[in-house]
Amino acid sequence: MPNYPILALTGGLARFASRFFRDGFRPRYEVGEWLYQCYVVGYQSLPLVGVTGFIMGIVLTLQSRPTMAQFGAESWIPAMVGLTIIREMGPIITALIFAGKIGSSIGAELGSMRVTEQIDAMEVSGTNPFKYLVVTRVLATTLMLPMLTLLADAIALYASYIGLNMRGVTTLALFVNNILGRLTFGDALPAFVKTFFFGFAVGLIGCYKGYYADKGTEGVGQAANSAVVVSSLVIFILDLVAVQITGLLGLN
Amino acid sequence: MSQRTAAHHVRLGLFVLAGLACLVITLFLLGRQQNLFSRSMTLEADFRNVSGLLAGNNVRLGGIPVGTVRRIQIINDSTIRVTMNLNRDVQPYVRRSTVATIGTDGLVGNTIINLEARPGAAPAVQPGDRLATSAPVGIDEMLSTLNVSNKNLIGITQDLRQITQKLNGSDALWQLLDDEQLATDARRSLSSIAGATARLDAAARDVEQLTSGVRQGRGVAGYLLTDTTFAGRLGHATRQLAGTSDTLAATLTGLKRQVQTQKGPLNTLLADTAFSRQLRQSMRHVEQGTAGFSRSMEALQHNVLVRGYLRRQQKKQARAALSPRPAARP
Repeated sequence: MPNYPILALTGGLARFASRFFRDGFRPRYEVGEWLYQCYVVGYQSLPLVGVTGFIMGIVLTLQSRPTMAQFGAESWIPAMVGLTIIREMGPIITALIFAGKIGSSIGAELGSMRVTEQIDAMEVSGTNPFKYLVVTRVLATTLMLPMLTLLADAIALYASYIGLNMRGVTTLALFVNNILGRLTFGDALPAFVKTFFFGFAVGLIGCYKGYYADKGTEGVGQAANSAVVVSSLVIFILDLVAVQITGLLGLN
Repeated sequence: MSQRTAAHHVRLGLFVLAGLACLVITLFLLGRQQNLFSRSMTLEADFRNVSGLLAGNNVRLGGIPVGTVRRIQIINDSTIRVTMNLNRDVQPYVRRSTVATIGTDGLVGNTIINLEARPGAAPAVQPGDRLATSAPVGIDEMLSTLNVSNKNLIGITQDLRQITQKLNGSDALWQLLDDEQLATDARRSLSSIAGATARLDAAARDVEQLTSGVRQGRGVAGYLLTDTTFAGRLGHATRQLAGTSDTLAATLTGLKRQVQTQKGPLNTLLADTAFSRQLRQSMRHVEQGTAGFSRSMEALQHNVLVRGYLRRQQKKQARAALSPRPAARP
């Protein structure tokens, strides 16, 4: 059987995910560790994600203004920027930043625990390392990325409002009404739902890469690196799948 | 450690609450926009063509969004039934006479339904009512009308072309237009017409003077028409005439009565047949008498006593007959 790394990775990830679902919903639950991971993964990522969202909103607004002004459609900038941020840019940019920050840290942390044999020690001491380390982290990323995306969207829209007011005058009420006039549930809900899958992918891939790290300290760096690369790729693939599914559901 | 964890929990809770608040606010605003939370009522309208209307499109009353399209059904090949969800708050403002039309939001925007009020009083709609509809002016119909107009235009321009060709080919017209003498003649005719009208004007002024004179009582006619004493005299004469004719009538009546009286001399003269016979007899006697007298006179001529006188008389007559001739000769 020829050695296809991509197939091996896919199979390994699938087995890892099935183990997560099998072990994750059985007691005992590591609630304290899960909450701490949520704090680290969600709250401590907020500044980075917030700054990214702010810049994304203001840049999109300022960049689109000249083109829209050429068409005499400056009043459409809020609707256009709002739809862009809520439907696509908010989820995907936040997920990529999240993968860069959290995926790498999870991969490095678990990888160093693996190479320093802390995980083996946990198994010996009677603690289920998979439950304690993997399930808590994957659950934390799955639930925190949607929160981060929502806040990033809000910050980006506010930044867009500021960007509009840098070159003209728009009231907040008009801005909100302009966006809401174009926004539908079909825009907001699929974008929200797909962020759960993005977060799940980031946590699962980071944990997988760290959990099965080898070759000493070199392996830790490799685990962190490949966790970011693979999870970013998977995020784009999931985005493609999501857009197809929402299209099939008639929500596009 | 535990204090740190508690602080972590608070921050994490705030973070999650903020994220969920964003989600809930967005969903609530979207839901309110689509009337998910307000009390609504359904109305129906049958269209022939809904031009791409979709469920969820806006319904507007006077330009304000008041509801959304809920369902679109095909009833038959020419009827599309649209069920609309309208906000209950606008129920008093939607009348039974309201007309629903299909429109677009802007030039290239979404298809929408416009509810247009019609003049006149009508009760407010009840849930489930069916509104009247009217088809908007479609581009297809405009184009087909334009097609007819174009065909008419072709006919008109062809006729115009024929007319101008005929006008171009007409020598008489061009001669008429080129003839300078004609213009001079026309100008002269016009000037003579102007002179005639001037004279007519003078005549009219004379007539006016005459009539004004008559009105003021100058001249015979004026005297006749305006003198009051003449009129009085005329009335007097007329009255005299009337009296005379009365007298005449009375005389005639008397005469007539005399004629009709049986014993009167005139009646006898005119009506009595015995009298006329006697008269005829008398006349015959007179005739016989004159015949006898004539014979007596002839016998007298032959009498000796008067013969000489008669002879002298004859000679005198003969001389009178000869003498006028020599007298006329010189």
